[in-house]
Amino acid sequence: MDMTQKALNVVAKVSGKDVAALQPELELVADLGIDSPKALQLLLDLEEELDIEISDEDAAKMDTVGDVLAFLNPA
Amino acid sequence: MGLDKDSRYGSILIGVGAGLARWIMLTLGWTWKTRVVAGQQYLDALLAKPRAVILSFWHNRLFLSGPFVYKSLLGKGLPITLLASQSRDGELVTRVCKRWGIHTVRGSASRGGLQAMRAIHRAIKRQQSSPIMIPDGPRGPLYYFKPGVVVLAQMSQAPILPYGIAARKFWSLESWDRIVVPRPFTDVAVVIGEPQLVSRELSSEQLETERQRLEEMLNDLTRQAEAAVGAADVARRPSR
Repeated sequence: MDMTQKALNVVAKVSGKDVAALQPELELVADLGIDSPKALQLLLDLEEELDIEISDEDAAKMDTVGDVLAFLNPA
Repeated sequence: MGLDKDSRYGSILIGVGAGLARWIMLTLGWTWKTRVVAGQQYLDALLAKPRAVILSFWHNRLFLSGPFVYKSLLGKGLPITLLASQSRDGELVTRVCKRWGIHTVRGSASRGGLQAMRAIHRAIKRQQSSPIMIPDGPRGPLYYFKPGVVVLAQMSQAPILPYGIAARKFWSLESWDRIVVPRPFTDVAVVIGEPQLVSRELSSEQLETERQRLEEMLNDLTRQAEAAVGAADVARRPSR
């Protein structure tokens, strides 16, 4: 399973949405209901599942599903 | 320049306030007759085999808890971390903690506190430091166990160590939660609950159920502590 798929699985698990419904433009807070406690869960799960470290600065830039994926696959 | 001067004076004032608060807390705390009326075994087990736990009590017991945490945990070698708000109150708390050797993280568990919560998670995982997480702090709602604390416990797998603490005679300040300041030489009772591990496998709905259970548990422990010293609740606790 590649990084993108693993990340989508984590977002789906934390938000309680189906992976297929996760479009890049969806906002983590407004559309997926990821509030502060869930955001903590999301970041820690991403770090653990993908074996990466996400800095506070990078975390602050993640507003949408696309931002999460862009962090994992920088242009 | 004026601002620099103001901020310098402000900093000095907070420093003096912190010294004074620490001195009052320790001096008053020294006069209190504090006893653990239940749950001593959980404290003994923790000190015999130190590990990070999440210490939880209600916000209006903050002043009351200071000497207890200092004498019974920090003084016995358990590293402690405290989440302090970014307000002036939080600065005062941070200065007091620094003098006691308590590591502080600034932020709020509820509002934009993601960075602070991650810092606390790191303190648990990397330093085995036990955070003091006040579930209804820093500004309530009163006796509401915020979900952030439950998620922190779930993600860190550090058990929550809840405790109720109460004083027989006290003053209560005109704060949102009527913070308790025990009178000198009064009886103080502590009731420590069984450490609570939050499963990694819980769904959002199950987490809410767990949150409510922990809230009720902390209310029960606090009621037991109040009953042990014959004190009434300082604020009106919602009945469920």
